Amino acid sequence: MTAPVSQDALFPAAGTLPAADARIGDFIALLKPRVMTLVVFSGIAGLVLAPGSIGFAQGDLHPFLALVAVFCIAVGAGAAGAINMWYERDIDAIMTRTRGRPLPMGKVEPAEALSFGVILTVLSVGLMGVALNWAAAFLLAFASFFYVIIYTVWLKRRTPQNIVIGGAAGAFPPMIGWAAATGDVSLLSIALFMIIFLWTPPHFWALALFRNEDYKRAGVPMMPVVAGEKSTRLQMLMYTLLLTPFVAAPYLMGACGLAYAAGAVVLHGLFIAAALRVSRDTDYKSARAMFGYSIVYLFALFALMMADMAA
Amino acid sequence: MPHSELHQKKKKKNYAVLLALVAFMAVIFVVSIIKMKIGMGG
Repeated sequence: MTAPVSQDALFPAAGTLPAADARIGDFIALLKPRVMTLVVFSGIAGLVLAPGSIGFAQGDLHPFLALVAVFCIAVGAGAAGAINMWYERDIDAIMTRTRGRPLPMGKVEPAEALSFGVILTVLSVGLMGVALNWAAAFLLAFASFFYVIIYTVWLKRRTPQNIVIGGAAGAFPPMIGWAAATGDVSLLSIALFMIIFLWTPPHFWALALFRNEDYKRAGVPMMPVVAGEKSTRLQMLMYTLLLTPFVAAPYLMGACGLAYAAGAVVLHGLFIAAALRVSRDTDYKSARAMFGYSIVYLFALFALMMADMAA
Repeated sequence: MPHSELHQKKKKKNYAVLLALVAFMAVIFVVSIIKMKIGMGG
């Protein structure tokens, strides 16, 4: 296993550059807006799929409160992203994919990024508790804790299982959305959690395969770096197959109908086909294709669930 | 950097923080009104 990287040894200049030129755009970049879109979308899916409806009638979830819940999920996830960028500014400076981020570029001071992340975390969790309920607020706080402490600080630089275990952090949003609407957690919300949890390894390892050199240089023990490409490709296929019963769960549990089942068969069939191609190939073309498709796949799957529920 | 330019930048940042705080207070206010309405069965 690759040894953990010392922050100062790798990038002594990180955070020491004058950062008075920080603009609003730099702070928005700290929130990882591209990652946030998927988080928000899956959070909305949790809210919509939960029993009860969003509306103005008695017993409904008021649309403004639903909007606040989505806002809290987005800000909470973004804030965790900002703290992650603060902690990882040394390796971000080494990797091609991340060296343009505000911290390695010296556009934002590390202390500013950290306080920005911490303040937004506290505000989003507090607002979720006050506006919706404290079960959703607790899940939001726990997801942030998991992402920052368990994944970023503890696992990422220590084990190739980093994104397998750490992937749980990204799987919380539909559960948070569900809890915001109902105040509790149910079997279907756990199935939604499991879909993202088991989707994460093939998604991230597809990226890690064609960014292998980047991770190697930064000393991050991603699966292709530690176990080799062949093993990673097989594990991607394994996780994709493990995902199957959870993709079927919304239909099997009666939450979604045949329209979802048919769409899910096509979407998941294509995902398995992509994983099979990756497992047989030795180049990175299929890994790139699978990475791109994995994003479309998750969006489409949740969109399908919501459309089926609405129909 | 000239003193005045630094101050200008700090001022902009302070206004942004003020705006964010006012927006947050507005959200809390609206949430409280809605919660009270729900509590009264409205």
